[in-house]
Amino acid sequence: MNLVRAVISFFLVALFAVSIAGWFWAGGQPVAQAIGSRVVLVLCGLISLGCVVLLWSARPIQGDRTVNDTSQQV
Amino acid sequence: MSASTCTLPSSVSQMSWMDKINGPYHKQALWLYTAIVLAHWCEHLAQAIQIYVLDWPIAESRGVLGLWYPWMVKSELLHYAYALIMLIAFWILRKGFGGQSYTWWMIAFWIQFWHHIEHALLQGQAIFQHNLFGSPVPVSVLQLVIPRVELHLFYNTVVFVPMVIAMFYHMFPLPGEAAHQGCSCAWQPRAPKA
Repeated sequence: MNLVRAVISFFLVALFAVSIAGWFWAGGQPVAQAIGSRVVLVLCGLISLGCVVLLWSARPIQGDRTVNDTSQQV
Repeated sequence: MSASTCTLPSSVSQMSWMDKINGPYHKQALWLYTAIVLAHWCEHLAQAIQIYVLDWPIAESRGVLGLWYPWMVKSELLHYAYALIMLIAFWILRKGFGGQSYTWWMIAFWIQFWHHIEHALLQGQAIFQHNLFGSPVPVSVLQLVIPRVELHLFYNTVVFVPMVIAMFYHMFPLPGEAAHQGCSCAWQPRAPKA
């Protein structure tokens, strides 16, 4: 389970880092393009961070035995 | 028993292909689909690094496969194929989800639907060699206000995040929702040893 979360988080953190790099790169572009780029890059960064937090806040439902699949027991 | 009586399939072999992929094989299907989505992310993140970090010209920044097979990017085929495959997968895998996870999955589906329309416009311009809005290169609608590289980073983010949340609620179902899942995707803690 943690492997899945780690792989997804890797991509989300990479997206966050790319958003920061893109913010600086966009500063060298014409003003109209820079604004459009920076608005969506900020959104990408914030959304990716929020998703990482959500992903790692997950806790299995203790005592819920509604799913009877032994392969899930890790 | 009349012919119209509803009966449950007694074994996996009696299930339809759709029932199998949304039931006993839902977990495997989601693994495969996630791998495809992450491969697509590799293309976009690699392209962004080529532009933002390595300072390559935008036209030469073609991600991963585009470096070896430039025609795949120039013809718009690579990203149109990804968009189409993702749209189809969102649709066929939806029945395996329920409750909150279904809501988030369908949010991702509808955003991907629009994303696919944008790629279809780009693909059409590449095929017919006639660009919209008098542009020298194929353009999509929102590209009129947001540059292409950043726009598609954004599109993939707003499709990927609801998809991850849907999978999150699918693997960690809310109380009462787990019982309605016909697959083995829900995660359970390790059983205490006797």
